[in-house]
Amino acid sequence: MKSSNVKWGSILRIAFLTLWMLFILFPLYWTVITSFKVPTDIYGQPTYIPGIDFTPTTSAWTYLFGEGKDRFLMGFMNSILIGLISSFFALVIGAMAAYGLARYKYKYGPMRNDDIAFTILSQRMMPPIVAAIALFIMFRFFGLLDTKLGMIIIYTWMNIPITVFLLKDYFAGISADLEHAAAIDGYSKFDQIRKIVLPLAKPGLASAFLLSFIFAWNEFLIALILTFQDAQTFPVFISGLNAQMEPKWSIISATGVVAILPPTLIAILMDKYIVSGLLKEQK
Amino acid sequence: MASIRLNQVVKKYDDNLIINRLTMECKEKEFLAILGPSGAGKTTILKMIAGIEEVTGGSVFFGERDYTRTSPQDRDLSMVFENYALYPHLSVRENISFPLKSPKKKGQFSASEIEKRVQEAAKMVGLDDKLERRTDQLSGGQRQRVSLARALVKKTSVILMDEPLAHLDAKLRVQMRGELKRIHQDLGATIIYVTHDYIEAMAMADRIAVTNNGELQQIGTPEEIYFQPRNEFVATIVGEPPMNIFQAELAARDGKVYGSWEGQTFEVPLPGSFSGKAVDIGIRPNNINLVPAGSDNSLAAIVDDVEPLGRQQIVTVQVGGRMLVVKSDRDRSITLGQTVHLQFDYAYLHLFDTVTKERMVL
Repeated sequence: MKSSNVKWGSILRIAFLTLWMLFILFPLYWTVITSFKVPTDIYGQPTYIPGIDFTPTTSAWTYLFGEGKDRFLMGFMNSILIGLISSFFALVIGAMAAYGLARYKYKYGPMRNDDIAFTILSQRMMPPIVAAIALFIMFRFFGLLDTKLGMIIIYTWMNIPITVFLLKDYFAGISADLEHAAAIDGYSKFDQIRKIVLPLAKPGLASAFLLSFIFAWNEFLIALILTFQDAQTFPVFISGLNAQMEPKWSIISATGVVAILPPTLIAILMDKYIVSGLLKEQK
Repeated sequence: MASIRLNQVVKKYDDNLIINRLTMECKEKEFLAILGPSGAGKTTILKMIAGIEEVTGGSVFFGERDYTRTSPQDRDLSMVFENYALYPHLSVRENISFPLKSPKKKGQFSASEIEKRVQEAAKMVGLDDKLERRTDQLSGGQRQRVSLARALVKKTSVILMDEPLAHLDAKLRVQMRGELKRIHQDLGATIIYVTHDYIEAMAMADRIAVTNNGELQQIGTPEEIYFQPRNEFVATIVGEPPMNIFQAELAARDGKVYGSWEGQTFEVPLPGSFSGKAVDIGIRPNNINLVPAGSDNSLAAIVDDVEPLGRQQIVTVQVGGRMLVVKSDRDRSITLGQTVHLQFDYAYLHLFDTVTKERMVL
């Protein structure tokens, strides 16, 4: 009686997870096959299986890496550069702020640690569009419009709340006694952080970096307003494909597939830290 | 050089007074135990000696040198933390060698010297076959030993220990007590040892400092603490079950002083001048004897509970409405509800002031 219950339970679970997986993967699959379709296959009856429903063509891909290469690569490289550099700064500045909030007690007028943390987090509470006009005027004043430096500054600002929030709890989870022990063992504050805190915080740092990069990689609205040509980011480039003449869905899809790669690659590279961090928590 | 002196040390967190004007000294090469209940400020005292916690007032001396504002890395001491504080990303070997590889000691030890010292320290705590393990693969007792080895490897003249045995099981604890005592003798180091367990303190320490609510209650040899407790707090923190303390009215009759308590009277060895006063009488459970009915100076009591402990037993009795605890040899004839007769061993009677709770000196 009981064993058949367990069996039904696991069958239901597997069935549900399979359905859910299909639900998640289908858009991805759709994007990939669309990148191999010709317009008639896209606008006609829905077609699902290459070689049976429709004849795949690589025309979109040859366009991306041939005729359209320059603009495609520029958007791609801009986003990589802006994403990596802004995530790096957000990580460094955020980690320092988070460490301070986790280890020391601050008192600025009525502000205590929690108030400071909330103030930092509140930067992400309003929709970014609220600040868009002000940012545009500011950027024009400082000559930062359509520059990579400008976008790096913006994304660093937007990512710091995330890194601070994530890392504050992470640092708080590392026992202060470890640093005390290192102090007694003859290590200065700087060496305590270098030898003890940072190695232990690797999983948290990796997660924070990954989240920052994904955000910077995907951000569209602010990039659309503040970049036009030289500093155009990848999402803006993709949407631009839509705006010229008729939307070229196969090219958009091919670009979309490429856009998935960098965050995936970073996630794979950092996987071992993130997983080891999760395992440590369980003990 | 390695004596440690606290002079009028005060510690406050925000407005909470944790340590109040603490003055005490740990002599060179002494094993000093700081004994107190949780919240007594024991760990804070240790951390102030280590320099991890800053003192709010007063000063800390190592020998003749004022170390009050010296940072921990410059104090040249080692410490065993209650939670071990092992570096989880390092192996046992790396943990133990960590103090020798500090930037301050750069160039001081060759690789072979470090290896020799690590082996030596690991052997001392019986971990020389586990050096390559990760610390999360070790049992609690083994982690404790790593933490101890890390403290020993520097060969400092001062070692601080914060409840190092608290998380070990009973058997290992007894074994480690012996080892710590041996290590103390071998190294000739000054050891300050924080504990809430009076047995640990009595078993290992040369002297015990009893603290409560951030104040020093008494400092003295284990014998002094046990046989001449300065106040009721010290009297009850050592000994298991704790000392019985009750208030008796004194009256003189026929040139002798009698105490009366819960309607019964018994002789108290005090001069006649105490007549008419009240006094707190303390008597340890093992200093109360069960005697036959009609014995001199005996009190009648009703047995409330019997806990057999092998050769001995703990008997809780009721005298009037109050409880007394008696520890005696195992006697199966004692049953619940039975009336027994108690006699105090006068040599071990403690007298305390009813108001100040201080020991009365006759």
